[in-house]
Amino acid sequence: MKSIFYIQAVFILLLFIGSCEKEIDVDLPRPEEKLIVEGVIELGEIPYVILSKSSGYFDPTDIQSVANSYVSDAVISISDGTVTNQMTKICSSTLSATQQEQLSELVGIPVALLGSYDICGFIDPSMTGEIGKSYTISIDWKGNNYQGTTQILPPVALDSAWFEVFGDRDSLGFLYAQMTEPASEKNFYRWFAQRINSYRYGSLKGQQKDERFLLPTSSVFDDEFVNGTTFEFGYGKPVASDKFDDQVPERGFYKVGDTVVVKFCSIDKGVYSFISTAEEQILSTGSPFATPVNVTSNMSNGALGLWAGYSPYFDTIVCAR
Amino acid sequence: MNVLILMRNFLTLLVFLFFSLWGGTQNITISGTIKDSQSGETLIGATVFLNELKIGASTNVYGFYSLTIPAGTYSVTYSYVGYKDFSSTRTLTESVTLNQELTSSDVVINEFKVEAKKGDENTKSTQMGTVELDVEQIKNLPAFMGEVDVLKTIQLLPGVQSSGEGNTGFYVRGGGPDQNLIMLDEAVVYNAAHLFGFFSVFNADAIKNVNLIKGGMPANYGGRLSSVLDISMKEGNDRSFHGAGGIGLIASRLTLEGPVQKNKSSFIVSGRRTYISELAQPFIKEDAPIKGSGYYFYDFNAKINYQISDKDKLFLSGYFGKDVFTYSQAESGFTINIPWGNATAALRWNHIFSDKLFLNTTAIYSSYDFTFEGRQEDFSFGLYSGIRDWNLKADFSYYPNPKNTIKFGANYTYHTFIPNNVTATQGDTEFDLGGAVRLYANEGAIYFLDDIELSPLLKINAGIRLSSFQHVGPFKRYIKDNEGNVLEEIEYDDFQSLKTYVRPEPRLTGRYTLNESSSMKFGATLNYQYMHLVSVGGNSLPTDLWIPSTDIVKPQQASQINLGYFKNFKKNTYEASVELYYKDLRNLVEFKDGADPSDGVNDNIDNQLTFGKGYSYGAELFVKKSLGKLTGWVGYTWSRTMRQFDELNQGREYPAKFDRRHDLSITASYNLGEKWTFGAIFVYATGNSITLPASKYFIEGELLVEYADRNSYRMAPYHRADISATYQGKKHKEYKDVATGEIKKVKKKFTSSWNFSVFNLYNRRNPYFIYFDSSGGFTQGTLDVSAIQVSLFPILPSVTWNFSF
Repeated sequence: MKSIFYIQAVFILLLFIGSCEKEIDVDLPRPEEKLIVEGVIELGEIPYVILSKSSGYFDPTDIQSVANSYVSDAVISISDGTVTNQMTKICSSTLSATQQEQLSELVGIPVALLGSYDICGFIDPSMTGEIGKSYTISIDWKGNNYQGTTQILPPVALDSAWFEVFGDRDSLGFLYAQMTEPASEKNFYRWFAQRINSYRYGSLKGQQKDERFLLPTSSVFDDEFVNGTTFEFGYGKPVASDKFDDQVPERGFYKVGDTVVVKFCSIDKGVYSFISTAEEQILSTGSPFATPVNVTSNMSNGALGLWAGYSPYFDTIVCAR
Repeated sequence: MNVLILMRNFLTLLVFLFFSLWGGTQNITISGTIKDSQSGETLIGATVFLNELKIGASTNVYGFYSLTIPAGTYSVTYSYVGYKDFSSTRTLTESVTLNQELTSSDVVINEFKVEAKKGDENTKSTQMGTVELDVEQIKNLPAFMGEVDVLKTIQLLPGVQSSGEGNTGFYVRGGGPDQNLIMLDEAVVYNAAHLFGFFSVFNADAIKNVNLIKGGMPANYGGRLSSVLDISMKEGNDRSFHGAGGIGLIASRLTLEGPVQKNKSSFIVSGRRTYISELAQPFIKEDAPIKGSGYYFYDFNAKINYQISDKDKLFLSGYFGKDVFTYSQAESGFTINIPWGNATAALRWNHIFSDKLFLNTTAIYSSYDFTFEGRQEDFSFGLYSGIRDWNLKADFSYYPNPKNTIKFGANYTYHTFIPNNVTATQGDTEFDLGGAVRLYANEGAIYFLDDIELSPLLKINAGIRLSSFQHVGPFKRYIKDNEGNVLEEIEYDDFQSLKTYVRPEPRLTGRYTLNESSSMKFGATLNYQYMHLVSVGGNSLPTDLWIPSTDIVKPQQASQINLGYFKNFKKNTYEASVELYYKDLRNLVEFKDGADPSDGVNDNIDNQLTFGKGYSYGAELFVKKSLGKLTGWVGYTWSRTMRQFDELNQGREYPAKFDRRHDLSITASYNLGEKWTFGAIFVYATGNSITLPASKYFIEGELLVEYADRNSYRMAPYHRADISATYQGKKHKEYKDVATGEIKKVKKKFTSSWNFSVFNLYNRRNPYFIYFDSSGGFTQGTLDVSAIQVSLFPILPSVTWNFSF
């Protein structure tokens, strides 16, 4: 309900009537380099952590510096409260081409980068996410220790999920779901979706529509407005590419014939805070009226990023009229 | 009820003071009203001077003066800037009412040219940090799009900082825009600017006088920390019917005034509306992002007064203004309607109890509303916020003898705050978004001050204001833990007190005369402010919210000390001053990082606030020339303004957004004969401080940023020059006197003038804001980030045709 930001956006529109722009050089002091954590543990899956370093806002971003931004000289341990393991470092140079592709799909690093540079991540093959457990990672890097904790909460099921054609469109529409929200505690949720059917025509014919789970612009919500109630909500199709069906007029719409897997996750407050502040920052980028707000990390000691536990409920929707 | 006991004791003290100190004088008192002979408008700050005694008095905001002197024969001189003096010799044996009318030098054409004179109020009064502006003088300066604007003009004075283009509000000596008490005929105006501050809500045609107090606020004013901007509306001509107006590129205005009952009662109505949106509509391309949007504002001022008797006068005045922004997209059926604006009404009663005691009683209503309505198909969304005041006050002026001017009075306001009220409906379903949140409060104050001449050299203005504020029910308080979970809910009944603050506010200013033309002034004041304007974004917008002090939000506090040197040159032709100030601010209010004020479910808005402190110090130089063909001023301010909030910027001190090291304004107007007047303005200001991203990182493939210290980057300096030329059509026509054959002049009934102005003469691209544009992908190594500076106005010529009859 960040309505204020939308109202402000209207005013910005008005302002641009008489304005003019020019590119300027901004001379900012050299920022200190910070550790960036991107780690995930999902119910029934093994945990992984990828580390990188922040760079100056205007620093060059050629492929070499991108590759250099990944951190491999750290030691990470993971604990579920009883067992503590040291995470295993795996580097892209030791992986087969197929494994590189799998990794690329999982974490979003291009295969080309994984192939030509040695980029490392951390996993623990002996541990999988279990309901009700808290997982703490402890990272030692350059003499400093950084810690973060996340929980695997009980998954919350959707009562039902379906597709509905929007307005007077003939085949385009959105996904809707009904849920009964548990009244007892404060809950937070995140919505992922993936189209698993393939294109049946055009240059992408035969290719699966989405390679992985995608996120809508505003992917998280909490139960503040809906605690303990049964209610409906809806999501459009995440816009994540420049493929033909991500262009107007199909942009943002699912289509009759799509098969969509919905991954509806219970998350803890730390994960919610990170994602909601990150999404707000992305939304307000460039707005002169927005207060510059840093994203709330759940890592300690000045590290940025997120150590996220997900507890998903899956549902498959076949889009039909 | 401690407050009531305190108030009663205080009033007892006042009564005691009157009867003990000035009960038995043998002197006589002259008093009365000084008016313009043509229009019957009372003159504010006109002087009466007794040459033999070398003492005098000046009129108050209602044109009233009172002077107590020994009986005798005196030469009495009445004078006012731009008016012909009037002198007469009178033998005064008993107290008498001496009303006087003065004639504007503009009218006196068949006689010798009036020698304009300027008083030495600048060096003689105890008041410092005060500037009084004559609206007629403002009209000769270049105005943005030809719209004369008093708020823009005061921003050219030292110590007053404009927030730049595209921002509402102004900043006085390091204080925020909510710390200015802006009053129109004593009614508080909460949002004094139309959209983005390009135009103020005050239509210059309806305004008589503008008085700004930026330091050393006397005890009769309160409720704000940094300044008082007291604007008086014209009363209307009580002799004959007149009109004035103008047609400009973006707006037109019309003012009508005249007698209701000659010499007894008069009215003035004034209206203004913009039409830029309608004019621009045909030129907007079909595919432009702003297609389908519309914007306009209008203002309406009205005032009527009635002289009931020699001792009683009633005034009823009102202001109503609205900004309206609309947007509709036919294709998707999406519409937006955003109206916002102020409404004020004031009923005043002037009563002269005796030639020494003057009372003004005022009943005021004031409101500010902001509404947003969005609709698409059967979904609608609404947001409403505002503030509403009912205010009653009584202000006494007592003139016991020429050495003392005493003021005392009381003020009560009932506030209703509506921080945010969000509604959403789909068809018949209404979503629960927390319902209407309202906060209620009582605010009261009593004050007493004496402007007292302790010796011919030393004069002080000492006063005390006792203010109180009470947050009352109905109210529902949500008590939260650090995680944001509601621990407890407490319901309060109607009128149940939640929190009461009582604060004494001592005020002292003084003047020590060094010689005939120069003096030193000093001041020390303590102020409290019980209501706070919080803004969500970095810039001020109509969406900013007024909220009251509560048990969580403490009253803002400012203590200020200042010292000044005042000198006049060449028989008061030039006024010059240097003022130094230091101001300490406490309990300042900001939103916490990431706060969302539209979230009213299970929460109170003050749970989202954070509190801090600040300080400001600076030096202000001012040189003004008010007489002659060339008039104008140079103002320069050197200052530093810092803020510190424990929860912002990791608790480190940071510069306020409007911290300006240098701020220079030069204005000039040159009168070239009867036809042409030229005006020019130059301003230079250190750039605004803003917060920029320092570093970047990627999570889930999205670019995220980590910001540098708050306000640690300075945008480029702001500077600009504007010029104007006014061509005045003939004001008089000549005729031949049949009896004597002489050629004589009479004033024309209808006169008009053309105003040509150029804004931003050398087309400076001043920074409005900086945003960042990124393209390409990080992991592909193609990310490109660039900083783009947006400027609002290029060179803008405009022409306005003004008329009067």
